[in-house]
Amino acid sequence: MIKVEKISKSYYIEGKKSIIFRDVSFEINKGETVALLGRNGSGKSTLLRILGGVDYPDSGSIKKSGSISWPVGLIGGFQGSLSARENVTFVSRIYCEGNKSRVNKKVKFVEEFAEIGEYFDKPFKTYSTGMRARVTFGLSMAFDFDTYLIDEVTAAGDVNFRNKSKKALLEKKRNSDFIIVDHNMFGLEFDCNKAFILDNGKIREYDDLEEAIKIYKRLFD
Amino acid sequence: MIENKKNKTILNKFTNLKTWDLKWLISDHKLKAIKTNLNIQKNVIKALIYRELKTRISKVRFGVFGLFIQPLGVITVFLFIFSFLRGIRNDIDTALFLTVGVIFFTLFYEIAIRSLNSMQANEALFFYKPVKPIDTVIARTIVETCLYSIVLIIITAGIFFLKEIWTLDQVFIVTSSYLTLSLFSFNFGLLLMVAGHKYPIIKQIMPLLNRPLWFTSGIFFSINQIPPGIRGFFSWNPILQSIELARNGFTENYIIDPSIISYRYLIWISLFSTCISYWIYTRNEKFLLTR
Repeated sequence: MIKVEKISKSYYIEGKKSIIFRDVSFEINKGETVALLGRNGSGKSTLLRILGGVDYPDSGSIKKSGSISWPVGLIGGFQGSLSARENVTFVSRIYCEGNKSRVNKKVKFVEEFAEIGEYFDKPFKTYSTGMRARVTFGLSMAFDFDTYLIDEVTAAGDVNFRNKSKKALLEKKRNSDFIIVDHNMFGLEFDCNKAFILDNGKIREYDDLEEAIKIYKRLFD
Repeated sequence: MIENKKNKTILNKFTNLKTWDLKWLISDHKLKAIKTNLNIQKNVIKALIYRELKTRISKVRFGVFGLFIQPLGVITVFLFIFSFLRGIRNDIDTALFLTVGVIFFTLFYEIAIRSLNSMQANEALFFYKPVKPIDTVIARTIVETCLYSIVLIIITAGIFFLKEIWTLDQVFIVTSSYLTLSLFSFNFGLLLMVAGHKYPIIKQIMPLLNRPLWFTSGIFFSINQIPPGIRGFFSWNPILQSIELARNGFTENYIIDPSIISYRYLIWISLFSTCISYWIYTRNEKFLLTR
C-alpha cells in the first residue's frame, strides 16, 4: 500500500523555479495496478523516483508498506563504462545480502532473459535502446518486490521482447503490484485497475483505463 | 545448600545483566533495526568495493602497474633534480624520502580531492535506495588505502633491495600515520562532497588550490628546511605532519621537532574532522539525494 499526502515538488533550473507537482495526494491499495499517463515532462519519472525513495518531495508525506523496486527505466541505474554483467552483479550484491550463489543465479537469470549474446560483457554505453530495455527490465524481474515501478521500459524493444516482458509481468502480477508509465498503451493489454493522468502539476484519478485513455487523447491531441 | 543457592541467584543476576543492560539503553526492535541497517550498509560497501576495484584497475591503461607509474615518475624526476641541485640527503635515503611524500600525498588526493565529483560520477548508483553517498566515499577510502599501501610496500622494498639498506625503525609509526592520514582524507572528502554539491563554485576553486597544497605538503622538502619563522604556519597541514612522522618512523636519523610535528596533533585533527564531517553529512544527506 502506498499513501501519498499533499506532496509538492519543484526544480530549480538556472535559478528559475519550475513546479512539477503541487499538493498531490493519492492512494494505491494492495492488488492494484496503476497506469501513469501524461505528456513528456509532466513528472511521471519524478513521481516514480519519489515513490522509489531515491528522490524527495519538497513537502508532504509518503507512507509505504512492503518492498518497492527501484524505478526501472532506460535512464539511470546503470554505469555506462561497465558491462551489463558487472552492473547486474553490483545490484544483485546489494539486494542479495551477500549470498554468492544467489548473486550468480540472478546474473544468470538476467543474461538469459536479456538474450543479447556477447554484448552482455561489453560496456553498457555501447548498447542500443532495445538492448538496454532488455537488461534493465530483466534485472528488475530477477527480484521479488511487492510493488514494481516501471518507466517506459516495456515500450522499447521488439515484438519478441514485448511478448516476453508481458509474460513476465503477468506472472509477477499474481503477487505484486505495478505502477507503469507507458506511452504505447501497453497497459491496455495488461488490464490496469487504475489510471492517473498527470497534467499541470495535478493528478487525475480514473478507475477505468479505457475512459482515462479517451480523456487523455482528447486532452493532448 | 542455602549459600549455594544464593551464589546461583547472584550469578544469574550477573548473566542477566548483559541483556538487561542493553534493553535499558535501547529497545530490542530498535537494536534489531540498527543491526539490519548496518548489515545492509556492509553489503553495499562490499559491492561498491568490488566495483571500484574493477573500474580503478581496468581504467588505468596498464592495469595494476598503472598505479606505480605516476608515483614512480614523480620520484624519478625529483631524484634527478636533487642529484644535480641539492646533493643527497644524509639523514634518510633520498628515494625513500620522496617515496613517502609522493605516496602519502597521492593517497590524500585520490580519496579527498576526487570525492569532490563523486556525486556526479556515481549518479547511477543512487538509483538504488540502499546506496547512500557516504558509502561511495567509504568504499573509495578502503580501496585507495589498500592499493597505495601495496604500492608503498613494493616501492620501499624495491629501494631497500636495490640500495641494500634496511631502515625500518618504527613500523607502528609508519602504519599509524598512514592510516590516520587516510581517516583524515576520508573526512575531508566527505566534506568536499557535500560542499561541492551545495556550492558548485568549489569545484572550480579546488583545482586552483591543489597546486599550492602540493607544494606545501613537504613532499620534496622536510620542514627543517623551511625558515623557522614560517614553520609553524606549515605545520598546520595534516598531510605534512603524517609525511614527516612516517619518515621519522622509517629511520630515527631523520629528526623531527616534537614541538612542531606531533602524532597527537594528527590524531586530534582526524578525530575532530570526523565529528564535523559526519555531522555536516548527516544534516545534508537528504539534500544530496534530492534533485
